[in-house]
Amino acid sequence: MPSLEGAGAIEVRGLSKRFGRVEAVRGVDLRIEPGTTFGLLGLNGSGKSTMLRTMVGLQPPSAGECLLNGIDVHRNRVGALSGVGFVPDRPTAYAWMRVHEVVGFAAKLMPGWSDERAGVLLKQCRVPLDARVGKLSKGTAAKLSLVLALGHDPRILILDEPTDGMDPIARDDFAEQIVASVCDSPRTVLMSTHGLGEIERLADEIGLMHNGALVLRERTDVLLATTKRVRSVLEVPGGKADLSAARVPGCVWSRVDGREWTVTVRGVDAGVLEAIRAAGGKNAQVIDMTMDDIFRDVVRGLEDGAAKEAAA
Amino acid sequence: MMRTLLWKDLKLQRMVLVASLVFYFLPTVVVAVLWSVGNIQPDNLQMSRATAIRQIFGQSLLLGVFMLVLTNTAIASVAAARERRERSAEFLGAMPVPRGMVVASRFLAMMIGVVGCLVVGCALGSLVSSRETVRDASQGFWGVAAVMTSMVGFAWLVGSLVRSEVIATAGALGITVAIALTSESAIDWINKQQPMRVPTAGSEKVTLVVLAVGGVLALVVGVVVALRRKTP
Repeated sequence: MPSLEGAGAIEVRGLSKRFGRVEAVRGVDLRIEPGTTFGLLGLNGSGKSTMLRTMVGLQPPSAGECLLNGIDVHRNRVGALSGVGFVPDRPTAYAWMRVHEVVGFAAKLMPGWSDERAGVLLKQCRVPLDARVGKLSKGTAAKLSLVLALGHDPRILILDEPTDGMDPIARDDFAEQIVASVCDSPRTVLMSTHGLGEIERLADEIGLMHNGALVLRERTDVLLATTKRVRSVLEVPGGKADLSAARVPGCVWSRVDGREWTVTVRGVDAGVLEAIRAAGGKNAQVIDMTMDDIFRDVVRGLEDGAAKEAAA
Repeated sequence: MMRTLLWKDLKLQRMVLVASLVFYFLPTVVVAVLWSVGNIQPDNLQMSRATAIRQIFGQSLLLGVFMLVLTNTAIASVAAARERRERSAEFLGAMPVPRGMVVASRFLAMMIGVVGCLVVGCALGSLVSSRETVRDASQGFWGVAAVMTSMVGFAWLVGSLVRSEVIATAGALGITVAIALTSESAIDWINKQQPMRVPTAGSEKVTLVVLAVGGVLALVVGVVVALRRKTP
């Protein structure tokens, strides 16, 4: 077992993945410390799944490397994956097997598998043992994937949009299981999802991918505490707000709607409010944001920026 | 680990093995129906009823071996392509299981299915048939074996390249027919250049050897392709 001293549980260095002329992941560097729950956000097609699939060796990178527990997954796949559980976006376990068969199958292939542990998880998740895997509902199939990923008590758990398409109750159940699995033993979790509420609740840190690049990385509590919307009233409709938005420090996104000017800012302080006042915004009001709001505004800001760049 | 993988790969084949059973006995069932309505008579009307039954059903069981060419091709296609089509290969791909072992298990399961069906089919046909029927049938056996090797080999190779059992089976059929036609045309051409370089009687054997060698090569290349594959 290699020494983990100085190494993150998950380390991605300069990872790129191309599919023909399309660069799905562009030079991503990411280091996740042991014991951290990391939420990966991004629009569809932003490169999240491609990155996660490359990280677990399901496809080779075009450039860069991925280390799991200090082991390069593309040089020593078996060694690296021994300590990793992976929950894919769509359940991939054999649809024709019964649940007890697929669990028995995984038990014989995964080093360190505990039948007792798997049994407890199956009971908690209420997965029927005699059912065919292909006949399970989406939520139950995802829970089975989680049981299969946790049965060998991995140090790293990677989840690729596991709750996509689930109903809210199933989502909550699934999130509970992840919380339980983290409390259960020290584990590093990397989870991509569109469920922003889940991320807000589960993740210590979040990362945002956009057009294949990791464009934002922050502790969840810090992001929520420092990212605010500032709403002000312009003296003249439109005014100088659009031009001045770039001069507001930490501006993530700006929108003018008639005389109302809304700026989303990371790190609101007196300087920010002064800049807004200077641009013509009166009666500035600072508003707290949810993760959902932050995600939307950051993405809109990135897309507006890209559109302006394209226009220029 | 290997036993677990092999259990999975053999179980994956179970529907094709059932189909093999059906195809194998299909000629016998057809013959039984025709026999019962009196549409089939033994070659020699003087022979005893027991001998006549043995002759007719022995021939039909041996004919069943010919039918196995199709199902054995399906066995190879399923072994090579099904897990990737169903994405269950990714389930294994995310586990710490050496890729070599996964491919070895698939290959072994395919060989057990193909050789097992062939051996059981031949043995059952030989047991029921008279010595003369077996001798007559054995002349065609090597032809069937050569075609089967080609079909199975190319089904395995194409299945290692694509994610569809149907394409793998159709591809194997197309390639085998193409090889046979090319070989025959080549022999014709050689004979036109230098008459009787390949005797007419030998041209068929040459084609069968070409098919068998091509099939074995396809199996080897298929294994290499599967081992070198970067995605499961």
